[in-house]
Parts: sequence; C-alpha cells; structure tokens
Amino acid sequence: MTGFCLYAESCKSDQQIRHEQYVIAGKNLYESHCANCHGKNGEGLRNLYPSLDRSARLKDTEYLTCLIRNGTTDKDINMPGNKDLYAIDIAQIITYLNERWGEKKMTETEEVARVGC
Amino acid sequence: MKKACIFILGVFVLACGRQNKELPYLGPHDVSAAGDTVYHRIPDFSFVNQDGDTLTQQDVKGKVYVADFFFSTCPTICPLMKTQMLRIYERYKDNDSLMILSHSINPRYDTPEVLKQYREKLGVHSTQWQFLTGTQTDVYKLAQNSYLTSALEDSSAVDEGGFIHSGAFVLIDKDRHIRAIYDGTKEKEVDKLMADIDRLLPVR
Repeated sequence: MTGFCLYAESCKSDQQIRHEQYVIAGKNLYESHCANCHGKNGEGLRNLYPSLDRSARLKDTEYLTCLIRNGTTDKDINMPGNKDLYAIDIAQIITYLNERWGEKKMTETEEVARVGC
Repeated sequence: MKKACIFILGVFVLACGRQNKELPYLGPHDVSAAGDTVYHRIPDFSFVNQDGDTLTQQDVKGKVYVADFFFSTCPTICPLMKTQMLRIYERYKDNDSLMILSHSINPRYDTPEVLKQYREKLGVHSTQWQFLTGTQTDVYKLAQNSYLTSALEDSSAVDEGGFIHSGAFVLIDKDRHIRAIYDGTKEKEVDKLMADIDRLLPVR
C-alpha cells in the first residue's frame, strides 16, 4: 500500500507539483502582505476591506497583478501597493487566492511578468 | 505537614484575593498637601470628531471609555485593532455608560470627512464610538503623556504606512484615571478588557 502511495505521489506531474508549491508559498505571502486587512479567511472587514471569497475579479490576472503591485485609491478605496514583490511572488499570491476562493486555477509567473503596470 | 498545609492555604487565599482585587491606577502618582495619593488623570482635551463637532472631556464625563490611536490608511495593525474594537462596540452598543475614542495620528490626511466615511464603512452609527482628529502635536502629546502609549511619524516606516504607533487599548474609568492597557490586536487581551469594563461600569 505504501509502495502504491509512493508510486502515485511520484506520478504527479511537474505542473501539479509547481501548483502545490505556489499555493504554499502564496499562503505565506498572503498572510504577511494581505491578511491584516482582508482577513486570514478572506472575509474582509465590513465595507472597509472587501471580502475575497468568490470575487469575480479572481480570474482577472492582469487586474490583480496591477492591484497587488500598485495598490489603488480608486472609488474611495485606499489599498497600498506592494512594490517589493517580484512577479513570482504575485503569481503565487494569485494562485493561492484562486485555490481558496476561486476556481483552483494556477497562475504562472510568466503570465504576471507579461503584465505591464 | 501542618506547615505545608498552612502554606498551601495561604497561597490559595492570596490567589483568590488577587482575582477580586480592584484594577490598579496606572501612571505616575503624586501626593497632595493633605497626604492623599493623587492618581494620574487624563488632562482636559479638545478634538474634532467625524461630524466636525468639537469633543472634549465634558463628553466623557462620568463615563468609562476605551481610547486607541490609529490612522485610516494604516495597512498593518489597525485593521486588527478595528476588528477587536468592533467586538467591544457591538457588546456595549446599548450601554451609554461606555464610550470609545479612536484618535487619528495622521490628522493631515484623516479629516473629519475621511473619518466619517471610514466610520460608516465600519458600520458604526452610535455616538458612543467617536473618531477624532486634531493637530498632530496635540495627538502625539496626548498619546505619550496622557495615555502612556506611543504615536510618532516616521517616514522610514514604509511598511507601516509612515507612522509608528502602539496597538494599545487604554481603559479609562469615569474619573479619567487609566486603569489598564491591553494589546488591541489580540482577541484574548480584548476578552480581558471587556471583563474589566464590566468591573468598572455601574451595575445596571
């Protein structure tokens, strides 16, 4: 049985393994950069900080990349940017967001790196 | 054996006694001419609230209140503090013997209009929770000297939003004495704060 499990484990594709790595790294980044306002469970804080759960924006990599990187002061929202994050960090955060509150789709670093903002 | 029993009994009595002991008076103590202890007291103050009205010590007269220091754009501990302060607000919403004073330490940005919007987004409507702004010098002096906590501008504190301040919730009794200071970012500390508020509030 153990042998079978090991075998099954080793059959994970590189893609799957990377996806899991992104989720784990993204969780740590989320908790240090985002969770204070958006909550550990993405619940937000009343009307002050939006909940992330099933947000329609989760699919929009370009929008999320710019928002996380630069923040926004649009429409009375005052979200600080995260200029110290690299494309891989942002990709990991977006992957984690989708894993928990979206459709569990992985976001590749290249997708984030292509976004110019 | 007998000695040990007496010792254990003594510890037990002490432990019980401590639980019922009244909250201490914090801050420097003085002695009056008559030889009585004079406790540190919050001096008179004057700030502008979210509606543009002036709020002074007269507005908290005879009330127990909780004071904290924050700013509306703070990305670090403020959201945690506000989450906890909302618990206090919800629990004492109908008890006008308790007030909450949240002082902005970035008054240049946090105008009454900004504070009003912030308060509305938090879903706070009762006059029991006031959001205050004033001159920066006044609020820093108040934080450091009156409430024994810290608030400073520090442009090198980029991650903190340019300001350094403690996450303290300061509990003031109806005679403006500081009775306890808690870490307002921690749920357990705030549980204790609420238990202590109950001890200070008049029995209803």
